[in-house]
Amino acid sequence: MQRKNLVRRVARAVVAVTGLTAVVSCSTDEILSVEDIDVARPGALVGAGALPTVYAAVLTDFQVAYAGSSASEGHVNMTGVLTDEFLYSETFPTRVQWDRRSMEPVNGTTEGVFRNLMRANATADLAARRFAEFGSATSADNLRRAEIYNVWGNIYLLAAETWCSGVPFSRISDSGELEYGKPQTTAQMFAIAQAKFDSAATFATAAGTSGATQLQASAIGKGRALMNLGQYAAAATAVAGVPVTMRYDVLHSANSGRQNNGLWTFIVNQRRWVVANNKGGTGAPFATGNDPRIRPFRSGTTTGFDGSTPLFVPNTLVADRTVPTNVARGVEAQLILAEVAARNNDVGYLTILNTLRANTSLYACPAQLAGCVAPTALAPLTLAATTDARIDQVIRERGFWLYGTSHRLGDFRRLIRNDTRTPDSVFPSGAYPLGGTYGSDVNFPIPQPDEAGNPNVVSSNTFGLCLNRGA
Amino acid sequence: MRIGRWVVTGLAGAILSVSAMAQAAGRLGTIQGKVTDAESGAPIAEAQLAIISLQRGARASDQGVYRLGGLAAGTYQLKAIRIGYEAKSIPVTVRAGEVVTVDVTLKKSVTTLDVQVVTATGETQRRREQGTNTSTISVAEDVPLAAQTNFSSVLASRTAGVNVTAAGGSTGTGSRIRIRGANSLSLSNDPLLIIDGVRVNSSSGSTSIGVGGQQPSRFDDLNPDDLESVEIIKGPAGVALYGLQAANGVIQVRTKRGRNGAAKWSTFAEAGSISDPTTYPDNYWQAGVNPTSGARVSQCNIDLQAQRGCVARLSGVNGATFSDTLYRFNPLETPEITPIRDGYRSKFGANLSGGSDAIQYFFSGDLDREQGVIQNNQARRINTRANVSARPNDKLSIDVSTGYLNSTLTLPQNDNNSFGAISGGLLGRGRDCGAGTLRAGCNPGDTASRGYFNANVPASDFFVVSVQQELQRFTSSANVQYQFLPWLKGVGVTGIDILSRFDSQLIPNGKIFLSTDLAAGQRNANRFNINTYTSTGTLTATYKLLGIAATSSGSVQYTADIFRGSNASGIGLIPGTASLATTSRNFVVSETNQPFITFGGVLRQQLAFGDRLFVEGGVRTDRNSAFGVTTGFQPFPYGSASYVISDESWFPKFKQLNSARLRGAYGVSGTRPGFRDAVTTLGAVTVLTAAGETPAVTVNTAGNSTLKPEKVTEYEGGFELTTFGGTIGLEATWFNRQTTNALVARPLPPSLGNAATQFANIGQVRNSGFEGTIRANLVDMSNVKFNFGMNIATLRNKVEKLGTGIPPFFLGASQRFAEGYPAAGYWERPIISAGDFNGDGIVSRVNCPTVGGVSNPAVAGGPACEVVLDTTLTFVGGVLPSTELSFSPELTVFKHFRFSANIAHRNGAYLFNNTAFFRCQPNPNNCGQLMDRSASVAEQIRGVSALMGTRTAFIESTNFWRVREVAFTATAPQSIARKLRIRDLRLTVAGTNVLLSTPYSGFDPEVNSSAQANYTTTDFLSQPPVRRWTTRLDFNF
Repeated sequence: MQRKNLVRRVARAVVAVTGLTAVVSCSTDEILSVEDIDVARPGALVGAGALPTVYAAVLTDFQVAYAGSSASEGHVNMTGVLTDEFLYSETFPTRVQWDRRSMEPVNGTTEGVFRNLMRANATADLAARRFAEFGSATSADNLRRAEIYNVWGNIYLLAAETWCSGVPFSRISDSGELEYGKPQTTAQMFAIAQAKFDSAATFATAAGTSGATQLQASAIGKGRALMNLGQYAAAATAVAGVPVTMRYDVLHSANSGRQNNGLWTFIVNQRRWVVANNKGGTGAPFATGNDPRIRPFRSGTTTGFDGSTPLFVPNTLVADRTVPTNVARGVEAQLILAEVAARNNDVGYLTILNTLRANTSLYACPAQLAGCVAPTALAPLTLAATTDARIDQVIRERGFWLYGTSHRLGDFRRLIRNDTRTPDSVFPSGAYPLGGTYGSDVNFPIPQPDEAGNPNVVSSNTFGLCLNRGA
Repeated sequence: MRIGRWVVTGLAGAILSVSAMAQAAGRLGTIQGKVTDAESGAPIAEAQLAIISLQRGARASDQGVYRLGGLAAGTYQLKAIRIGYEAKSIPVTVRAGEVVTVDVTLKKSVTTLDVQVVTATGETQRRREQGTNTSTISVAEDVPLAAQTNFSSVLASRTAGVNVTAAGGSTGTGSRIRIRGANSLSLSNDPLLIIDGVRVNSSSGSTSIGVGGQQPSRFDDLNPDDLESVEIIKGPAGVALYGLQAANGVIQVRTKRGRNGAAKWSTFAEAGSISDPTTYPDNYWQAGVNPTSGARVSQCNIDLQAQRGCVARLSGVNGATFSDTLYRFNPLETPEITPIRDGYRSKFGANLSGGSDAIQYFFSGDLDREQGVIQNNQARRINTRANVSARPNDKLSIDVSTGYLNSTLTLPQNDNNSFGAISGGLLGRGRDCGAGTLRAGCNPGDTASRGYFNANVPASDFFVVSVQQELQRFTSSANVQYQFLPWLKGVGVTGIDILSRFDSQLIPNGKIFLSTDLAAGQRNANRFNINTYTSTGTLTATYKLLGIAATSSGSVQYTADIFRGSNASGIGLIPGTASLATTSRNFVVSETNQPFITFGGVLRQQLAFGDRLFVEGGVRTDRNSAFGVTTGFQPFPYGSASYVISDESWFPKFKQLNSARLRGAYGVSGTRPGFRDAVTTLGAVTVLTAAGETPAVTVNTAGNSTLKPEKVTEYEGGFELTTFGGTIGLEATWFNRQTTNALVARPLPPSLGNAATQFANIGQVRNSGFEGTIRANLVDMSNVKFNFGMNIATLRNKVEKLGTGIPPFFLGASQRFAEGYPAAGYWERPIISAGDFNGDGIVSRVNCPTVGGVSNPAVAGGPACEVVLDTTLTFVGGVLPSTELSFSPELTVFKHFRFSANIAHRNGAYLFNNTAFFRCQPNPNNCGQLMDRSASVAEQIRGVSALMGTRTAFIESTNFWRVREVAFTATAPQSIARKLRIRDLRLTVAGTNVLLSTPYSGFDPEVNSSAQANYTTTDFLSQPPVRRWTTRLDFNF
């Protein structure tokens, strides 16, 4: 009897444990279900209600790609170091490659800047599709769509002016598939940029009066693309109606590090590079001219991060971390008109330049710059003798007016590509201050990791992943 | 989560419910007796007494007394087992209601056949029953505690196949631990840590505030003084039962237990010094003149000289303001300004242990303080432990283990860090820029830096930066075993690991002027709760199957790893304050919530043929919350066989061969993906628009919904011999393991604009090698004893597949993953030929072709290229050693004096000496290879090649011989101890990192500024390992 009870009890125990196991096994989905409350999922970006977030996503990704942040270099930083705008004053081995015009194919910093641009492109692509699907014909939605297309156009402009020929634009589809883009030539990218600006203009027009700034920004962007393509007359036509006071900026904020002005981060806060002066023999005297368009300033004997390079900061652009970074402005439209005139041997180019120089409101003190003394008018320029010299004069003026806005590299490459200038005549060249000589790069190579997985990108010994490393 | 907790409760409840149902059956008998040393007659404490067929056992007290009750009437084989002794089997007949006394004498031997190890389910098993090679470190007996500052050092060079790299010398920072190589390309290769049967957090890089390199490791939260033994189960062949996360091996720790006997107090006090044995290199500075213009040229290195940019005036006149003489300065070796000083450590502790047949206890507490060699590097730890074992009756045993740690660690911002004292010295100037000294090469107006990197800032200023980690950790486990029937046992193990961590950083206002934000002051305050819950329930049946002893068991296990935390920071502190509450801008807040849940079960079957042939097989199946949605339970099968062939009657008896065992095992284990690896996510950000601050999203992770765990399959085989009367023991093991479905963080093309990587199960990795161990009691005389241990391990690590269409990809600049080569090995463009070909005294890169994108200066009429680089990347070497050796001699003289040492050798690993490489870069440009014309041609080639973009000359072999520790212990004779009214008195003097011999040109071949990274291995400005001398006094009452 006792043995029988014992067996029964053991049997109960085994059944209990087995039953518990079975119950638990049947509902493991629930047991293993965990909440992930810290992030959003892509599914949240569907429907008309998501459009404001999608629109904001375009702006934030473009801000980082273009103007940098507290942690990332933007195109304004990177292109400025390659050209004569900024002088390297630190120790990072990846960024010295920009300064010396000699890039290695594996460069994590360069890759990061490229990825951020492509991220902005993918976000703009997504936003354009979402607005097409869920957007309305209201003025507000049209205005947002205009800005999305303007940003998208500027992304293509940056890609074409900064990177070598052969940039692939890939994306992840709504269904999660990786869609690899084919390499686009420099000319193709400018053409695509032009088309994006045309779309922006269409939406800006549909937005009515509120779309004026976006309409003008699209005109400037289109003009910039056309100048790069050598279609000077068309460029002049595109920008003709833009008022000189127009500005379209990326806004910065102290709210989070991601929103900080990237120029401020790397020049003022981290002292990684400084305002250059006659860099590499060919550069403009950005540091010593005391030009109010830049306001180069050195506090005492302060130096860059390396402890030796004099720290000149461009106060107009980096008075603090919240100073907006300009994307397009009416002054640029005037400069396009001036360059087209100069190329046509029209001495009116000088009038345009001097009119701008005389207008002190165009280089008024930034609100963030405490103690700033109101500028006096810049002295007028004198007529240059030859067409090339006049073009040089315009390019030089563009250097000061558009300093730190990633225009300079496009200008240099345009001179090489369209005017048969030699790279060393426009880029810093000769003996490199930190040893050796400047390299021969005139743009940035497609980062090596794109070779990993993108079947459309083929590496060559001559150009790496680029179709061409020339201007 | 709620369901999960019910499961935990349920599992524990099930065991207790079953125990409540069961009752005693009939009157039972008891065996008791005393275990003594056959030679000396001394009692043998901690001997295990076991009835193998019943899986029942007891431990002998300090007096060697044992008692094993609850036995049904019958005849049994009583086995007595003790490490260091030959096991003995004695037939015993037990009668109902009677107590039978069996005294046992044991003979010394190096055999480990019958050493008991704890299994994944909380039960114990003898080594002879296991087909795998499980290593045991008897910490309490064999490890000189005075030489152990953390758990990693307990493991280092004591076991074949376990690679511990204490990568730096900062107090409180951790090590990289690898067992039998590295399985995974992208997931952690850290082993699983189990304390007293429950999983605990063992994150090897456990901080949220980067300090430039070395980080604290949760492995090192374990207090060496609390450890009784450490078992290392090395691979899937042995760890399949542990399921997910065990693929990298399991380190199973058993903390000290009370012993049956009177209460005993043990106290200790130790104190010691810490010093930095490194001689740091000089910084160089050479001025010159331009040969054309006559203008003075700063930083006139040989590269510029070769380009005719300057001429070095080696014997120039020292003027009032400058000199062109080659200058050397070494701020780190200049006593009045070096930040390096001798540190110290002290530790005090006591424990109380004792107990009766029914209950044993062990309570301990200690205080540990350490001051590192850098001023603001300190650690303070308070450890307490309470372990209680209860045997309320002959069927029920309960072991409860509880540990509490309170620690505060202060770390310097050092290593790869602009605040770093050591990096500041290494990248500094070749001149002392102090007031009154020659000023050339110094920043105008800078009299403060004294040659350190940051102009105008004394290196000591950076010590005001405070990075702290405050930790409170409570770990507890309960192991309940109930013998329902003589043949049926239930085991329930449940435990918690509650870890509260507070990481903080304070940069006071107005102290650090390196940037605007730093000058304004900054505060980071990040709080984390990292909890691990484990619950396991097991039923084990022992029975006869066709006359063969059989054991069957089934288990279910639930594990939850829950990481929750919040990060907060702000800039712009009000002077004199140190709180987030007084910051004024750039507020950053974020929150992390990452729960991992694993649920699984185990079925296992063992057959024992005559206590000499054991065959075991089973399967574990796990499902984890991090799997992709389409992935269900993953099976992990295993099987093993162990054959003590020398126990066969037909086995020839050799006088010199005492025992022989053959073993083999197969097993599969896995590693789960990371928390969000399977899902695509967007991060929340903010953007300023015309409408104000606006919420937005940006790409965060690119998930892969099909992710499965990596599977690691391992085969191992080997043998163990005990020879020459038990004085020499040999073990040999071969293993071969393959990781399939290896998760590769495949780089996503940047043109996708998405995350940088996406995980996919596409890789395949193989690790294979040999492990051998020799233990020898070479001399065993009354006044002289000499023991000797040796471990050898070889390893071949190879990436077999990266996945279709995945080309080799880089990890940093020179390490990369490529099929057919070791994971993350170094690749560089080799130097084909180099020398001072034109005999001008300097090596130059003038007129060398562009290689790898780096252009070299062209000088018309200049010399031909003197450093010719290959254009193709070539494999240089791997980061894991191919051979490791360790020797542990121990000499005891006159019974009271013991000398021991631990000597380690490594071979086959490479390390990128980025410190030397970086010093030759254009900034800081202070290396002797480029500045000093008198440097050897070989050194000049290194320096010049660094400018050419190849690191090949700086990727160096790290072969080394190191006397890792030495210890001398003097034990007071009993006569003296008795006069002092104490039971034992011991004095130990121990040293660590005592001697090093290596061809590596850097500071230390084991240094790694990314010590806790999975593969990244580089020597970059890191605080090298330190040398310690410690004196310890142990008093036992």
